[in-house]
Amino acid sequence: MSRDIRELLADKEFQRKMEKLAGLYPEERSALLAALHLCESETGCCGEEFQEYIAGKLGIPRASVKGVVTFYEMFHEKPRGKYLVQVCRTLPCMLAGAEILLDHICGKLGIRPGGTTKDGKFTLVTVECLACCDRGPSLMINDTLYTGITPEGFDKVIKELD
Amino acid sequence: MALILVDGKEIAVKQGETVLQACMREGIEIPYFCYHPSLSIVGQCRMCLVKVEGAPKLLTACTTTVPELPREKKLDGRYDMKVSVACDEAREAQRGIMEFLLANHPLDCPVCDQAGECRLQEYSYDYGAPRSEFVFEKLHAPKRVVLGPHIIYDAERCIKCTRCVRFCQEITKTSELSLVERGADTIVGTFEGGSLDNPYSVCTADLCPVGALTYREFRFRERVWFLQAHNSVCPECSRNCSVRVDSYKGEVLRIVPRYNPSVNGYYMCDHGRLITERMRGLETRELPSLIRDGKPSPMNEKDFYARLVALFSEKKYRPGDVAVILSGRMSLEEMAAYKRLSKELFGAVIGDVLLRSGESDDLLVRDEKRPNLEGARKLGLPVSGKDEAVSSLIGGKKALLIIREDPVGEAPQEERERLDTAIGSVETVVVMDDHLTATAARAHYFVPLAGWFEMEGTTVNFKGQLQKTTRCVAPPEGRKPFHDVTAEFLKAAGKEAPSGFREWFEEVKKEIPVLGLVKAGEIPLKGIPLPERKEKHG
Ligand code: SF4
Ligand code: SF4
Ligand code: FES
Repeated sequence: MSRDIRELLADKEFQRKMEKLAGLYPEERSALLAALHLCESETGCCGEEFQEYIAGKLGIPRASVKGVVTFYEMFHEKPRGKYLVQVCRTLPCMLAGAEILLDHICGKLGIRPGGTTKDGKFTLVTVECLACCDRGPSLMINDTLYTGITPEGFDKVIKELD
Repeated sequence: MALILVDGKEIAVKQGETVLQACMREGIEIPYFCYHPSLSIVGQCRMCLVKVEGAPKLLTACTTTVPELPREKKLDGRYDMKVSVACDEAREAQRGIMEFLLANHPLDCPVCDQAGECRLQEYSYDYGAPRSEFVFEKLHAPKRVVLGPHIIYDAERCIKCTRCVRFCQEITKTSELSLVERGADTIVGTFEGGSLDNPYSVCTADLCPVGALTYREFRFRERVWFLQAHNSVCPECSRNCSVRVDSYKGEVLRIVPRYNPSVNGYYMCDHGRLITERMRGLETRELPSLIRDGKPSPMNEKDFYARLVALFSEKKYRPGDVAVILSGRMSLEEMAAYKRLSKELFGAVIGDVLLRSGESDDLLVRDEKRPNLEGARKLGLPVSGKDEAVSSLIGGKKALLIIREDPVGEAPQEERERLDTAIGSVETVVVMDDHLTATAARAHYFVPLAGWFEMEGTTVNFKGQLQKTTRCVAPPEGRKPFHDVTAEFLKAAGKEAPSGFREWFEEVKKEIPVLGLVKAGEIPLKGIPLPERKEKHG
């Protein structure tokens, strides 16, 4: 999950995957999202270096690539912790106690939204709707969804993460 | 061709034309921010919402085209679409959009440079709600972001219309800008370490409908309602972009492009605008001066011209003894006046108009860096060759007259010395210009001329479009256009001479017969296309 970006760009296997992706679409630029997903899953973020690389590769202005990376919640410009804690900040979850939950998480991890713990284990962010409004408050840790979660529930969950 | 009914008015709509365009053409106002005739249509701002009969919700007029209906389906047996701009639903939507746009807007009009020419202000007045229901603390966003060398960005004022982004993608094709982040956090940004730095960057400030992008050199210089607007032409290349010159208290503070489809469209280059900065602080004189050891000492006009005339008649320079360097910065009237003067003084029209060239691009910037070289050609004045060294024009002459050019100041290093020697060996050197140039410092006589924005005149651009520039600011008494200097000369020599722009324009007309019926005061703002010049062969 956290390979070095330079190593990734030099990797023959990765380059082959990129070529294949670019060839999948009638217009090469359409491969952007897929490419960003690939980089995000391999290195944990889509930083400047990758943005510049992919802009050149697909013939998209670098500023536009940055626009896409910053638009979507699932892409990150800066490296993030091993576990990405994503708390839903949309209205229904907030009404269901997400605000209290978020305060608790901040206190527990000792970071503010957007921050990463010193040991690099957790990054905390708030995100737009996770589509579980009926079961809020909701949060995701990496790819796992937790709904109706209480502060105590959160503590229990992270205790089990190494 | 389709027919629509807009609030009771019938409008014919061309194929592909949008409701917004058709309404604008017919003078029906629909408020809008993101639409611009030179950019792609994105329907970003939602300000142009109108009601279309039969549509389930309001539609954005800027993206709505009108399909022609088969006869039996026409509304009221006649219309392809019925639209309302002024109905309650549309007004309510416009009010709603304004409220959203202003929800996080700082409302800092008192210190905003756009105030007075801001669409948000205008539409607040015309379409906005009297008070906001938004009671929460406003979101904050970056202010005073240096986007590029001439552009400052205020993200709190930005309404995310993307005009600036599209300009850089579609017009300059440099794509420096993009919207970054999302939702309420969206701002305009560049790539990390990137900069909005292209030869047309300031056009983004013109396009920005609000005060989010401001032109650095003009920021906080003056409230725009105090400015006086004048129509002029950019003198920095042979495109002659139509411009509006804004002045205050006798100083040119800002130059902006003036729409002219036959010359520059909506835009102009940054170099052209930045004349204001280059002009500032140039040293000049208000009276003609004798120059001794590079130092000018002013003389009263009458004595000065009498002295020059006496000098020329006593020396009896023949055409072969004299070198005259003319400039494509002279107006047609000045060139016509020069021809008259040359005949008087030397018995023939002599002299070369210097060709100054440089970089060009495929948008507007032309390689010929003078505004009126085409005018010179039209008047039959010889234009020098591209690489012709000025020193070779001067070599071995006894008298040298240089008008509105600074060959010394502009000489490349290797040419400079030769030029200095050449000028140094000439017995009589007269320089006329709007400021004291490096060349003027080597002259014996200096005549201060009115600057480009200080006089009326006409020019012909590379395509043959004749345009008129007006007097935007008044020069001090003694600084005159060259045609008026000519009149002084001729008077001192006891000759009759036309006086002022209008009379000299009549002289120009004699040489450009198609202008026959045009009066000096009636040159249209977009100019007059002149027929192509017939190249003389053999
Ligand atoms: S900076 Fe101005 S032109 Fe650009 S998106 Fe914002 S409001 Fe529109
Ligand atoms: S393109 Fe030429 S005429 Fe137009 S603004 Fe630039 S320098 Fe002036
Ligand atoms: S002008 Fe129609 S949406 Fe902006």
